[in-house]
Amino acid sequence: MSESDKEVKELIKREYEHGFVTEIESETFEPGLNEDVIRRLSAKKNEPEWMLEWRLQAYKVWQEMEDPEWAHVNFPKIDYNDIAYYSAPKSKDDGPKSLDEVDPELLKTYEKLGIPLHERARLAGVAVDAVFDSVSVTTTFKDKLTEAGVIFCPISEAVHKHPELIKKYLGSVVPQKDNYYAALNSAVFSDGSFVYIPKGVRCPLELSTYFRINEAKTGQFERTLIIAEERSHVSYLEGCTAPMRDENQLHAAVVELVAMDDAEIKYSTVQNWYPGDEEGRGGIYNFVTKRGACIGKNSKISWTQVETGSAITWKYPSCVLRGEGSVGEFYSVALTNNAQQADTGTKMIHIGKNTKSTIISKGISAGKSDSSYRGLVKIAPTAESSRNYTQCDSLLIGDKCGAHTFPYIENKNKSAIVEHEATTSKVSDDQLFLCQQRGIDAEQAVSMIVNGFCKEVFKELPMEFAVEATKLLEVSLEGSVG
Amino acid sequence: MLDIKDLQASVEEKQILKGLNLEVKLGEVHAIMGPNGSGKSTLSQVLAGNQAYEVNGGTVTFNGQDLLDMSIEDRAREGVFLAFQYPVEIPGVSNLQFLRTAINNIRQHRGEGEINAAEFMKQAKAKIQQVNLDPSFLKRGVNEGFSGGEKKRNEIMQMLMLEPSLAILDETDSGLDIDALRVVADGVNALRSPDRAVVMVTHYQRLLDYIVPDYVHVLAGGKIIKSGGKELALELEEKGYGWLGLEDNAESEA
Amino acid sequence: MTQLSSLAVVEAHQLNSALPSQIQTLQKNAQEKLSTLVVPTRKTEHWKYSAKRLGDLSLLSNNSETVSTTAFVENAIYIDISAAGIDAAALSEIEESGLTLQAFTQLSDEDCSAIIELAEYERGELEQINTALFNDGLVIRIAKNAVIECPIILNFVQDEAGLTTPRVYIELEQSAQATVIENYAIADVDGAFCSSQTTALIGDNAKLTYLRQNPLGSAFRIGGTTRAILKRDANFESHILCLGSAMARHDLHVLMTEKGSHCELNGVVVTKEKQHYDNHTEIEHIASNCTSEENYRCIADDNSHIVFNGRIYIHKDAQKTLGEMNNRNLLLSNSAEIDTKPELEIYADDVKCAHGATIGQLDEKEVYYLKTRGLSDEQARQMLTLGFVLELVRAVPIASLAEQWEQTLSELLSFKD
Repeated sequence: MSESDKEVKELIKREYEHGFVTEIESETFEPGLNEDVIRRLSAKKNEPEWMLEWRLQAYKVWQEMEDPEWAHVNFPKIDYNDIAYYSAPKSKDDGPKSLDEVDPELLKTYEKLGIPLHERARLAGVAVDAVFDSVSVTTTFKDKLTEAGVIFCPISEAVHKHPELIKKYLGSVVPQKDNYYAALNSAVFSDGSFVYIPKGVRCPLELSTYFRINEAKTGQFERTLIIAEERSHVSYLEGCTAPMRDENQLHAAVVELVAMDDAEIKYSTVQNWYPGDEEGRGGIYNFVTKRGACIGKNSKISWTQVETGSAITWKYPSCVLRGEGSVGEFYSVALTNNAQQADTGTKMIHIGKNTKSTIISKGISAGKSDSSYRGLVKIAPTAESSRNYTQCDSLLIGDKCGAHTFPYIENKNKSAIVEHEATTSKVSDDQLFLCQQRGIDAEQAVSMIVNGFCKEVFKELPMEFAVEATKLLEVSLEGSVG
Repeated sequence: MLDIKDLQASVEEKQILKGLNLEVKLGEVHAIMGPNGSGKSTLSQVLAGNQAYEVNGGTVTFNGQDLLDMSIEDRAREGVFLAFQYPVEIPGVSNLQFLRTAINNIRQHRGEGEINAAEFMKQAKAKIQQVNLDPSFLKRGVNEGFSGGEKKRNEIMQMLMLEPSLAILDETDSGLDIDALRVVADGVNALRSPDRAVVMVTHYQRLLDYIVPDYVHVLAGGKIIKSGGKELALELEEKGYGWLGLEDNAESEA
Repeated sequence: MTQLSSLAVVEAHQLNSALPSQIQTLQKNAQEKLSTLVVPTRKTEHWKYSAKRLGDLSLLSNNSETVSTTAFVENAIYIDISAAGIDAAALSEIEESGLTLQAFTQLSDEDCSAIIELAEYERGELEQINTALFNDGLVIRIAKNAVIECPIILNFVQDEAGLTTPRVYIELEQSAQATVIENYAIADVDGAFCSSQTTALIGDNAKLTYLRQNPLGSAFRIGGTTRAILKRDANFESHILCLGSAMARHDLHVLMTEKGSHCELNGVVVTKEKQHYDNHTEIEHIASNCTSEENYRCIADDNSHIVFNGRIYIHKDAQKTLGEMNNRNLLLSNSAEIDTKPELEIYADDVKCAHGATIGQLDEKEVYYLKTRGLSDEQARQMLTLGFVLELVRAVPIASLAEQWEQTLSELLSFKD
């Protein structure tokens, strides 16, 4: 280890900022999973019979599946009977009708997280759906959205108010049997956001869901569904945090996106779940299935993610490019520090003619963490003249971390062009020396180099969040070098 | 301002500097010449604080302070600037961002506030033109994809922006064509003033036609073996290092 | 799920009692391992794309037949290897200073220690089958400082259906140099299956040039493993011509175990009709300051299928590693398929690694350029397609072999009417 490395390492030491626990009375199911739990969960949400049937069907599928073992991550087997599948802050009736009825403790929680829900302090231009453990707390700017014809509400609400849309699209992109965690989510999903953008509408606000796990020993299984009709446009952002706890908590979400002709969905994630402590105790297991279907001609789905949290990340936001001329994009920065493990990447499935996809993945490994890129680019025989460009770069900080690249490229069409480039390098002593010789200390130098490395991805984030992401990266890197 | 006494340094357990003495006063320009492998670059790197080089004897005093005891960045903030022989590339970090961070660090060190953004841009544009580089270079990554000559000019540009009190030029002239050499020389001459000093390490006398030094030193075998005025350089050029009983050993340059 | 140990060909196998006792123990252990392994399926990660090509292994029978020889490189040492075994008498007739040739059956137990030791690296189903079932093997030893000028050509001959398991061990002592060419001649009939294994231990500062040509076929199946273990400052250069068959797979595994070693892996793959070829390469950088370069170019036409899985694995202590891998692919038909997976697995921090992979078609600008010079569209495409692979063939260090490869490829890639 060089001297400069050591200096940088010493500079980097800050605690997880969002690790506090909200003291609030909750109604939480006792841990355990069986048909009865699913029936109770469904009853809690007053769900119609068809929804319950759908869940039970998924549960059957899940029971017949096995945990996936192919990912480049290590963790003890999860006992699914040791997890509570429902937890919600206690409230008088079915749920708050307005913000005034929301428990002030909850409002304080979100304020502390930098997501004020009060009318006066709200983020300008961003509508927020706040999900606390298993339920949605509130959704801001509902009126303005309704005016534009946009539906943005908790998915539990959509089940009642828009059953035809839910029946049609839920599970249409990520089928129940898609994978182990998706099946589990289908059986026990608690809440999440539902977005519907009608034909020709450009959503007037950025939409955002803020997920918070609070209760101990609970899993969070949110479900998000976004439908963009012809010529519509929406930008959606999700953020996530959780308290610091010594035991691991499971987060198994499913996100489905549907884009019709000429529609565009931009989905950004700033993921900052609790990553566990330096020794690797605690932290969130983030096992998420995210997939978008570009059904319509010239539709576009763009995933941007900044991943700094979670003990283990297992996540591959994907695009199924069915519509002619449709476009899929994936921009990702995944930073792992201490004992974190990340196995993340994307799948681009080209089915339609002239479909295009771009993958830019930046992995940064520090401490004794392990970061893997795993991606699939598949060109079906029908995907005439399709193109993919993939670039995945890894940056290593320190000598105990690992960076891995596992790209799968499958091509069955001769007119398609697939390009893949990957590099791995480290922050070099020479670079640090040059910066220091110009009066810039090692910490600043590393953060500058890292930000430069991630620039291509940050520029894809909505403005408000690009700044957040940059800061988040700095915090997460603290204590990493050496 | 700079007083080097009996300096000894090694790299990878090989002794390079073997008792070097040099005194530089404010306003002076010193040229250090010598055959390859004599320790010229080692001297520059040791003064800047490169930790690949181990100092195993002697002292260096800079403005009354122990230079060897200072961190790399503190030396820079106190006004020591090294123009690198092989400037490294830093992809993704723009020249502008890099310079602004550097300047603000130096200003903070001096107890001054951050530089005004407009003022900074004005200066940066002026200086980049002064070294004959297109202003678009400001937005590019530090040295990223620059040619050899462009990298050297970028070093001089940084020097003009940071206005150091002691500028050390490590073979900045090597590999430059005559036009680029003029640009570099003009830059250094522009910086010359009674409250600054310059130490130029060079292998070629040609540079000294453009920057006239006050003193010329010959470095060989890790020591300064001869010092004189600018006429010493001419004599060297004429007679070669053989005149001093030295061989140009190209292989062992550190 | 069929256990490999339950295959008829495995159950029927009888150990060759003429082999040294240590080798027999090794084979018995391998046989035991076969009961823990199953016939690969699509779910077996390293057989993901090729398992369906394996055919019905339960129908395989033992094969032992005689040998025929063809000479194709002048001034070379020819050694025939068949299922019937190694002709020890013929080996002893070859006289070349610094070169020792022996059959496994001629070895003493002490001579076997390196073979036993290196078997530790074995993995994968086909390798275990080879180790469990081989009848005899060939040992090539090059003495310290010896430079064997003439190439050593190993002819693997299989004239009929059944499973053959050729086995070769090559050892180069310090600063030795040699060129080994593996040539496979396998009867193109259904049920012909060859599972070969070659291990090379390359000593300090020694250099092995390794060439391998897989024959063209439509019915036979071949699965081979080549493993090179590099010591300090050792050098390994390989050139592989891969022509397709019903199932063809080559695993190339390079271990750079000491400082300063270098390897260069080149491969050209061309498949047509319903052929298949699967290359799995792995370069393990175990020690620091080693460099590796890899270039594979593949062309798939008609209904054929090519798989490339290239992995660079950098161990924790392999600082100052330089690794480069490049895989370029041309798909000439919409019914053909190419799957590529260039992997980097890196545990050291001071490394520079890059890999690139492309799948595409000919550059239309280049086609256009040639046409403006008077070439027909067909000529232009043919020329560019051939040029795409010839770039690598020209790096083959034996001129006469390079010419033959060029000839073979020209014929294969000339366009249909």
